Amino acid sequence: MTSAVAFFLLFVACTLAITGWAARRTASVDAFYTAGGHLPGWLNGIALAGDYLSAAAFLGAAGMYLGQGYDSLVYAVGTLAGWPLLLLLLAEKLRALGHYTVVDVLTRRFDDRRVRLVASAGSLTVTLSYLIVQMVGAGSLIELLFGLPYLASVTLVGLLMVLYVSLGGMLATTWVQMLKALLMLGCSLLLAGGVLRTFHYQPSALFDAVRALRGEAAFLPSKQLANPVEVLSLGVGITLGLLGLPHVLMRFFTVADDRAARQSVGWATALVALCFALNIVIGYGALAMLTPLPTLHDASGKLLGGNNMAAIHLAAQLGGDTLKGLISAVAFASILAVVAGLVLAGASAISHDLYAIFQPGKAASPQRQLTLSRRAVLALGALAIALSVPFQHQNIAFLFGLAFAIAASCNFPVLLLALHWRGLSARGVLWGGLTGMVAALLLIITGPAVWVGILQQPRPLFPYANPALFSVPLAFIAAWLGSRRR
Amino acid sequence: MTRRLTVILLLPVVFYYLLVALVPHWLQGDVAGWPHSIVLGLLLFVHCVAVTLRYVSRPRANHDKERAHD
Repeated sequence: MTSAVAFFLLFVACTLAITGWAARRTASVDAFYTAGGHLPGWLNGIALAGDYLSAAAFLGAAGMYLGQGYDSLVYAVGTLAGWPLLLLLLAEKLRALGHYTVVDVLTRRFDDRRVRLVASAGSLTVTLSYLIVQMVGAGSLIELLFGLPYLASVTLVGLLMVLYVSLGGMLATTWVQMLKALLMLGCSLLLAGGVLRTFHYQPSALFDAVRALRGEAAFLPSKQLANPVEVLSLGVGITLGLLGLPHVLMRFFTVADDRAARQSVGWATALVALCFALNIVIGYGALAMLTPLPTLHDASGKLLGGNNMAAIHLAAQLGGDTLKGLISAVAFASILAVVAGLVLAGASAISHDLYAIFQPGKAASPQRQLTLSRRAVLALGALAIALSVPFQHQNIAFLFGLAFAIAASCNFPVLLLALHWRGLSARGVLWGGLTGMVAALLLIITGPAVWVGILQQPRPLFPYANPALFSVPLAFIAAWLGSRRR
Repeated sequence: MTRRLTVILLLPVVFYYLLVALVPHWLQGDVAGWPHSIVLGLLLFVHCVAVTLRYVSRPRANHDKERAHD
């Protein structure tokens, strides 16, 4: 048995034990969606970080330093800025007004089926897009790390996430996410510490080594960020997208009061910042230490397994098979924790938000709600596994962009206005939400990622990969116009 | 205070993205072996955390006052 498999089995055993413990405490719909609503701020904050930091933040960020250099830090700044913005604009008001889902917040103000439908559609689209990306990434990663066939990998991930969520609800999900966040932080510290030790704890020596290999270009934005409009749109999308992610926002319903909601974001911001800072060392360390090794590159000079394997290869260099196995298992844990949060958000959108549309005025009994929630988890798990198969060989990066674009353009504007602007009307919510969603969808489809990358057209109709700079203001304008009309 | 902190948070971040978008060559150079671009990124990390901590550590009375105003 390899060390990766051993660590992986240990993690699965721990999380199944957590699920068993949580299942005995998840007998009500309140416990299922909000873990009882009295989680301490520090626990929710660490879980928030674990919910948000996927394998992309762990492996992808390091890989981007290797492939595109400084671009990874440009992404990190925008992503991190979203957290204090979430605190300042949304966190406390969500906690004060919400019940189980973000749609609850909107319908508390606008008791309108159409508002519920548009908001639910926005939440579900973001959740499903994000889920497909995570599942496909999980399948490929596990296939690469553990040698399991792709279908077996996605089935394993799907089964585990269904178990965690259907049995343990938000309580199990919280503890799994917290465990994963601490493991990820620990591994990041190990890797960064190993890199710094290699360079005699002199960061300037690390930067000199990178300079010797790639020149000053390694510390400047790459050609991928040469277009100013693209850069600004990227910044808008990744900063505001966080404020529209349903699986992140629903975590604010798990704490008792707004003080705990503030503390949650405080903890999450600090942890995310620390991880991103360590990624600078890990990413550039991978560049400096792996580039000179021909055994880790194929005939064309590409890193074996792709740039996303940079942290794994670095771990092997620093700590042999043991550290490599640990990092591999933590990467898998990262995916599991995030998909658990996504499935919970999706299940709540189906069984809570959409149910109220199709059964208006007929509140389901608590026991029925719990049963519906668990069935929704099963259905979503099956759907996630099924959808990950046709997307296996597709370039799915656009789905990630789509999720953030819709989160920033549909969910965030209507939520912000609903919480801060008395002049918003139900029509404004509809116009704003629909405009944001349609604009984001159309601009992504006609952009380079889909129009050229998938549909194989010679030129994109919309020239930018990130539509947020256009779709977000459109949504706000539409919401304002819709609220003006009487 | 919330509005003020939002502006304080966003101004440097917006300025950073304008820098990257329009004049990325201003990021060249280093100080004591640390590239300017990395130092700027790290300073922005500290800035985001500082704004967060500033808001979280506000006395409870100020939070209640702002909420009542809303």
